[in-house]
Amino acid sequence: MKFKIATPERIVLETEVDSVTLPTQMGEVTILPNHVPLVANLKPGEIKYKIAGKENFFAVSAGVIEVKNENEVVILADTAEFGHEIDEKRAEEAREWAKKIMTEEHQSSEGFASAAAVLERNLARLKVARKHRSHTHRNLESGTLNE
Amino acid sequence: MPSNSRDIRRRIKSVKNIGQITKAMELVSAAKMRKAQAAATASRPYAKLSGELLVNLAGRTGEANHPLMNRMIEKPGISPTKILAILITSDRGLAGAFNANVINQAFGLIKNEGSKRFDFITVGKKGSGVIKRIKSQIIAAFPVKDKTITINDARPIVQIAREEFIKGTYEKVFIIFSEFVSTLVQKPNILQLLPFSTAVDAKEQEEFLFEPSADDVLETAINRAVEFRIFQSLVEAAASEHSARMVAMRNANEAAGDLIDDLSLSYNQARQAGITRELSEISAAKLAMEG
Repeated sequence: MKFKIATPERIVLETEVDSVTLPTQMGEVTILPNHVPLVANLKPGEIKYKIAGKENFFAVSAGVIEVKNENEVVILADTAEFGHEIDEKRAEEAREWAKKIMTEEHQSSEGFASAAAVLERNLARLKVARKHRSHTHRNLESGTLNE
Repeated sequence: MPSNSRDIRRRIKSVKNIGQITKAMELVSAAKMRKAQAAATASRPYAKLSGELLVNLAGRTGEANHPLMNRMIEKPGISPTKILAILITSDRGLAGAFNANVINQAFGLIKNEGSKRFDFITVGKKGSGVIKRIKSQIIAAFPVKDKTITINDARPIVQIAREEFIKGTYEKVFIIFSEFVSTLVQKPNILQLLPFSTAVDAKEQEEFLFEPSADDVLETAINRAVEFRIFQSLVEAAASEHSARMVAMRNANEAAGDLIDDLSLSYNQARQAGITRELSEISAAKLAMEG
């Protein structure tokens, strides 16, 4: 089945996959070939897709998912990043920053909401980055466990 | 054309300096142009995909009910007559007719609809300057971003426009910007942003499952689409600006080259005339002394 991730800035991914697992507002869904056409709200989190049994990860922020009749899954996300594209340190810093903003007093509800969104997005990024790292370590068979 | 050879030499020097500057600006614009053009092209697939999705959604949910799609918002005592225009220009000049074209487009719109009805959100100093001069109100002014434009740059603009539109301050919201066609062609364009409209194709309706509900998804999708439309306008404007500037600078550079050629010719003529005159003076003096 065809799988496409598009952000306003670019087409991030366009490939053939066996299955896709994504976080929606209603919970996590896994989409297999011949799924019923579906449109759902995407939550910031990690997307997992399998090609020939091999799992790949993606961090996405909010957006919309469209599963089309012709065995095609389209994700329209605000941002999307591969595991290896994520700068873990930067994500960590952003998370700290968001936490700080959220705990500061006299926050406007708007500021809080945007900080919460930043936090959520970066948590997803970190998760994917860590997973990606542990994967590559395993693949290298270095024998030493990271962390 | 100056006739004195020293004057000509001085002019050649200053034209050369100008040529160097325009050459440098051309190179800088060319680099920025390539990036901006790539960004403008890369954003187009998303436009297509989100357009398709909205057509599907709007057909299913009765788009007229959504506040951003609805023409008239039913609110007692408020009948919006004003129009909001988002004018996207550049901060800097020397970009050929780039700003003039966009601003003329704005003037055309104002002329059609009556100048009293317009308020503006401006992006870029050039636009805000002009709007200030015609004494229209600017409700928000944004600078042009020099780095890569992201969807986050479109958000504050959308937020103001959406708020005011839903409040009922404005009947319509337009974007006036320059559409990027190619390096040599940029088309000034007016787009209606709100009320948001999609071409609904009633025939090709697929059966969709919606989660959590069609209205919820429509809400998300429309907000995204509005944000994206502004984002795309910004990206296209940036591509247009840098293309226009590069072409303008290339023209200036060529003109400087032509001018230098002309001036060199005059300089050589003036120099030769001087030599000939001196020679004839010397031989005349010699003849007189011999005689």
